[in-house]
Amino acid sequence: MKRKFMKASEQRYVTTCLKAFTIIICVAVLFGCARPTTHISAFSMASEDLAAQAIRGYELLNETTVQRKIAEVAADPELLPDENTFVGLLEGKESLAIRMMALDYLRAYSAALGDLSTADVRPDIDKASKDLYGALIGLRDTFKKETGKDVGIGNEDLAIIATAVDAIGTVIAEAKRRRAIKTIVIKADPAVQNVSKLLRDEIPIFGEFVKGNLSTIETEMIKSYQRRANKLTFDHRVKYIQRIRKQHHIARDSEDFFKDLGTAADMLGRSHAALRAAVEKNKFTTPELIEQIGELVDFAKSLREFYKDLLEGE
Amino acid sequence: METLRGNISDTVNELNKLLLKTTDPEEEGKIRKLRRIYFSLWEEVIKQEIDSRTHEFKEAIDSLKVAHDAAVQAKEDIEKIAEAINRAVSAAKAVDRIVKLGIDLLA
Repeated sequence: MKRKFMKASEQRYVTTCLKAFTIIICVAVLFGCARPTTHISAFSMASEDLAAQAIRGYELLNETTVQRKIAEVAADPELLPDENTFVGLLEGKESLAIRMMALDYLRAYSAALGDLSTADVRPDIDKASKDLYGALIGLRDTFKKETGKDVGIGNEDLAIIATAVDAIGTVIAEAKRRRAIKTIVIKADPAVQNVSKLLRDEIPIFGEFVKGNLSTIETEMIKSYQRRANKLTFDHRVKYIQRIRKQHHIARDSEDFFKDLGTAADMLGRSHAALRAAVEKNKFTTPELIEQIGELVDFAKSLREFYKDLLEGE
Repeated sequence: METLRGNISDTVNELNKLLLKTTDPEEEGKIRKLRRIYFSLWEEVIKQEIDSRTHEFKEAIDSLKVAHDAAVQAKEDIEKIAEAINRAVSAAKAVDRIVKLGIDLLA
């Protein structure tokens, strides 16, 4: 069941995992790097990874809701499954789906920024800039749709970004690339801050709900055991109790996972703010930024491992 | 600050514990139905913008606390499970007056 659930983000997960390996290399060359924008790439990969983990949190919210409903129906012989049984929390509730989209746009923005900082030929720049516009427009529209407020990036800002990217030229000059990245980071920062704040405040709320789902499943597993125990052999009872124990641990740890996702959203905002502060001074390497990148890398790794532990062995 | 979702979460948690205590099929059925209602209300609370300054909000929070306490007591004395169920029904009605889900609550 969980394998099926993971498939939804499997491709993205594999991509971000592969990129995560290169983060180490990027960070390693920060202090004497060959390209001044190398740390931008490291930043974007770590941010992209964190955003991908947060998306998994939303998927977990959806999936555990369905699993809980299945357990409820299975626990009561008078109930029958219907179409509502298989509807997750995000489905049919547009405002929640929008948040997931916002995260995906945040992830896409981070990825495009990284691609732009490392592209060697003009076609790659064009592709990265196209992805970047798509992500920023998506961020703007989803935020407006959900909150009714402007996210902080308008058509004029997008036009300025387009001009800066065009100025990089056909033969890529690092100075022009840096100017373009500076423009992008400054113009996109209000949007990144607003979206990361929204996610930081709200994601932990979903942790309570996921824990409620998982604890309810655990309760029904125990009830089922109570009814069946005297008909089972010792070995079967042990296996059953071990399954309950695993479910208990998943329920217990899930809330912490969501708290950490909230922290990750906050970290995304703070890291981008550090990036903005650096590029505003025309610096692409500052001690604060290096520290933030290091924290991002560590946190992304920690979240990935936590998520793996959470679902392992199902 | 007190939140509806936090108090609903606590009550669902206690309902689960009560379900483990009782072996009466009728009580089991009522607790399960109540729990499904609480999850529906919980989803609505997450989805909706709830004004925490209203009288209804305060009333719902108070009712949830009473329901929670009654469930805690019933864990110690299973004779009190019926009373805990009634308290939980009242609290669900109080929350429903805010989110207006209009679900079929227990009599």
